[in-house]
Amino acid sequence: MERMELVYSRERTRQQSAEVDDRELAIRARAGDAIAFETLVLRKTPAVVSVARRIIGDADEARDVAQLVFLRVWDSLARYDEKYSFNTWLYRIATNLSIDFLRANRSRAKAHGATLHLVRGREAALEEEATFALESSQVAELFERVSEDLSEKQKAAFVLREIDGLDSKDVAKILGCGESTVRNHLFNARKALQKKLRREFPNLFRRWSRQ
Amino acid sequence: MTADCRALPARLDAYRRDDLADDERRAFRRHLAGCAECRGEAIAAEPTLVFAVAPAEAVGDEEARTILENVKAALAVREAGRRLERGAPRTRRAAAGLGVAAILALAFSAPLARRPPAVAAAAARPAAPSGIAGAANRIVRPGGEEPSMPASATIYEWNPGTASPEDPKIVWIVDRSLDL
Repeated sequence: MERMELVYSRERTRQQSAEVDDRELAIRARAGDAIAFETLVLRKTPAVVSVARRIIGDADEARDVAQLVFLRVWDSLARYDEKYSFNTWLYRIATNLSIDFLRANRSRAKAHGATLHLVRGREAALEEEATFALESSQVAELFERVSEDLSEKQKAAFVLREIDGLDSKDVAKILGCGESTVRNHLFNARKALQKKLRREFPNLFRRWSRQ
Repeated sequence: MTADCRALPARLDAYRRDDLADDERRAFRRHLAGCAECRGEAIAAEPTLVFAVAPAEAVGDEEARTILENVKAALAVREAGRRLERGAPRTRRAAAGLGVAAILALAFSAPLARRPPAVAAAAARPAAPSGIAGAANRIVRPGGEEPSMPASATIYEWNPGTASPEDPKIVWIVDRSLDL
């Protein structure tokens, strides 16, 4: 009987947590409320995986990084200042860890030689002309292919501002720079991506222009 | 054709310069997401918009739950590791000896599985949970050095001597002072 009451009580707490906003959940989690933390993880996983996936370019690795992000969140909750948006704080952690991961990955890729990328790029372009359709997973794959030359910060700025549609002041806070720097990153990223898209996927954009 | 469609060329220019106010920008993106004609025209002029207007990849509930379980397991493992580092816990809950054991199943990768199978009897330790008692053995670190651990914690091998070096080694950490 006692066990049933305990289970019921936890379930009720979960339901109550589901109705609470992010900031309040973070405050409760900071005070040691495990259910509040679980609710936050479940609620924020899609956003964290999504931003990590776009910066890193690989779905499995993005899931691994998402786990690291939530571990970091748990460790850092004591430093979370509730005057600021929890989302911005979370994005900052997710973006920084994704950038670190990307940096480490690129170093490893360089060690294995850059020629492989060139060959794969050409194959991808040929394949794309015949099969590409506007589905989210394929757009993600396309982004992965054309964004490999961007710097980590350019890529993160583009993902946050252009893909996730965040306001530029939030992107600046997340990246720890000024809004003008965000604009510069965005401008350079867009220019580089545009050039690569037009060169490697010309048919794709002709098709859209006919729609 | 709506007013938003007619405003496309001007707004597209401002968007590319990042000159739209935040709410105008959001409205512009919403319009592109809902209007195929404007979307096609905008992407033809600014190909990078293909990334802005694509729907996000879905992350299912099951995937989110898996991530949550992994995070919880990692936190529990880390806590257990801290206890091992610290030696005996500073406080022992009064009911710990009688109460619930915290059980963590850890799948270690091949390098750990290649550790010497040095094993000692678990007789002096608390009994393993039923079902693994027969197979339970304490793990000793390479070189015969036993890790320092609190008196309340014991590590048991699930598959002693049966796993090949490439198979994961599964162990249980039982710490009676942990509260699940």
